[in-house]
Amino acid sequence: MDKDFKDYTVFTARILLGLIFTGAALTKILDTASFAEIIKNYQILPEYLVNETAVFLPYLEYITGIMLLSGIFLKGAAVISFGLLTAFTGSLIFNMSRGLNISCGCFTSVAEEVTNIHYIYYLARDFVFIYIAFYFTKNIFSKNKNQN
Amino acid sequence: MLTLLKKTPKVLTDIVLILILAGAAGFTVNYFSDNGIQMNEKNEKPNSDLYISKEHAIKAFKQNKAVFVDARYEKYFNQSHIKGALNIPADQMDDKAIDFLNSYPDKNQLFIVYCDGEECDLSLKVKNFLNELGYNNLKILINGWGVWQKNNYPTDKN
Repeated sequence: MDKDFKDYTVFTARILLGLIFTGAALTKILDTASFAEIIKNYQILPEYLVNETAVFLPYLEYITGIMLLSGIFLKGAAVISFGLLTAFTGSLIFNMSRGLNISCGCFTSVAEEVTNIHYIYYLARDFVFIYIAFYFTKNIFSKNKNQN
Repeated sequence: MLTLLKKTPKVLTDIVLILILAGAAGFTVNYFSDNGIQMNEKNEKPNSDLYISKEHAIKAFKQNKAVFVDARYEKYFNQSHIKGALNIPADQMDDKAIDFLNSYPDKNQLFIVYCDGEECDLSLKVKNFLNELGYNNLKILINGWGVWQKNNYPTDKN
């Protein structure tokens, strides 16, 4: 692949990821209580960790997004973004497989009713995001390796 | 210490720094924010004075002695709810406060708060909110909406 073109796609992936993460975090930051309710509905974390996670997770998303957009701590932000997306998708699949009808809470803190179509849409979207994060993470590490 | 920091791969120091920043920002903002949530919120145990049994709840309903308060989100309330219940969604409590205080000046009025599911704690949040408004005769019907539907008690739609 042409080097300039590759640089461009890596940059685009980084900006996209940054926007996804800051955007996803904002509504959760503004309504922590409702987001806590969504985490609770996932029924994965023990109850005593629900509120702590509801406070911590949106800021982790937000700061990761800001780092991606600004280009600071890029390697860490890349790994965290890939890890978070994988964890979110994993928990969605886990709850799908046990038949729980839960709201995804991905870009909103408002619990909404979900159907199988919603699930398929969430999953398709998550896999696209994971691919972007994987592509960016892989390239940021190989780029630095080549430079060293 | 500095040597250790230099030897640590950059990606690890990045991750740790981002985690620390996120934790510091999140917990500080939550602590000072009006919309902040309680850490380690303990659920009050069943069988305390706080809870009302299904039997007592339906008795109070039939005798018109209680006002039922639905703590679920507006969308679910509009779909269906306990007949005569009013909606104070846990995410819109502040907006409802003034209307509620005007409509129910009697602080000893019995209110039965409910939501959906054994694990649902929206009713506890709304009950605590009503407590803060000065109401002191509050009960929670655990899994109220589930109980109501299961027993085919009267419901209403908006």
